[in-house]
Amino acid sequence: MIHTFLRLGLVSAVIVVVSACAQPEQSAECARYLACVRAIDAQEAVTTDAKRFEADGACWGGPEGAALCTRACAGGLSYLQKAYSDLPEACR
Amino acid sequence: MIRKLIFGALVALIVAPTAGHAHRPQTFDADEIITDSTISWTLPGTFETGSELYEFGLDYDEPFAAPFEIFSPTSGGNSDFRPRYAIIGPGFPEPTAEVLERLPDGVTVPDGAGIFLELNEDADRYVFFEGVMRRVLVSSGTTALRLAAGQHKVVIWSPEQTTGRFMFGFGVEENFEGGGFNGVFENWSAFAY
Repeated sequence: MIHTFLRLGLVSAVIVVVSACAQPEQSAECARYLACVRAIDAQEAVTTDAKRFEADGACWGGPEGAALCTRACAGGLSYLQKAYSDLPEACR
Repeated sequence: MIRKLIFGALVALIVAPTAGHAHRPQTFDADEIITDSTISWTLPGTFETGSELYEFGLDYDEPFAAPFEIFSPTSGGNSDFRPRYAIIGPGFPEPTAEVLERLPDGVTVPDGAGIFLELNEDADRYVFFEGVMRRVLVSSGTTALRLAAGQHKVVIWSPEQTTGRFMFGFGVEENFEGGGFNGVFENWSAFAY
């Protein structure tokens, strides 16, 4: 009985550690923000250095950075929508 | 054997959450314009009287988008402190009279420049544990901002002359090469509160 509990505890701990160490993927929030930035870039004929938000960017190197970027992208798109009236379709 | 495995797993559980995201430290008195977009930065400061004005410059060759936020450490009764910041430069919306009115005295806006203004007034602010220096911080809210190419000025001030400590942070990439910790130990009290 004790061994069963210990094994269950071990399996739970391993699952938590593995999920904590898993590489996060680009969030939907940042995909949307990036699409908006690229659409603005196209309007202005420039290229914004936004590599950190791309699918292989620095945002997705760990859970803490991923959470930071996801919050930032949601806030960033919301700000763009409030602050600018002439945004391209991808930003709406 | 199982006990050893469990012990290892528990140690990993304790250690894993402390591996944190870290900005490169910088001080306001470094008299430097930040130009490297591939480094994330943090700049700490203290409003001793509430009338101080902190400023630093950014200058990028191409448009640049990254998370920006200002946060306050919660220790020592500092959790209610709500410092404000503005980024002044090309590409941001032209400031309205109301926005200009909310800037601190002495801050000028060059012709053609716009303003991003963070008043840090959200009722519910994001609170998080920063694992590198092991402290709890409350954030103004992280916003991904797109800065046009060119020179920008970041201005940080305290509303109604309130006093407290803050850190301004932006960027994502952890990069401490080439003197990334310069000034940290000389200014330890600024960083390690």
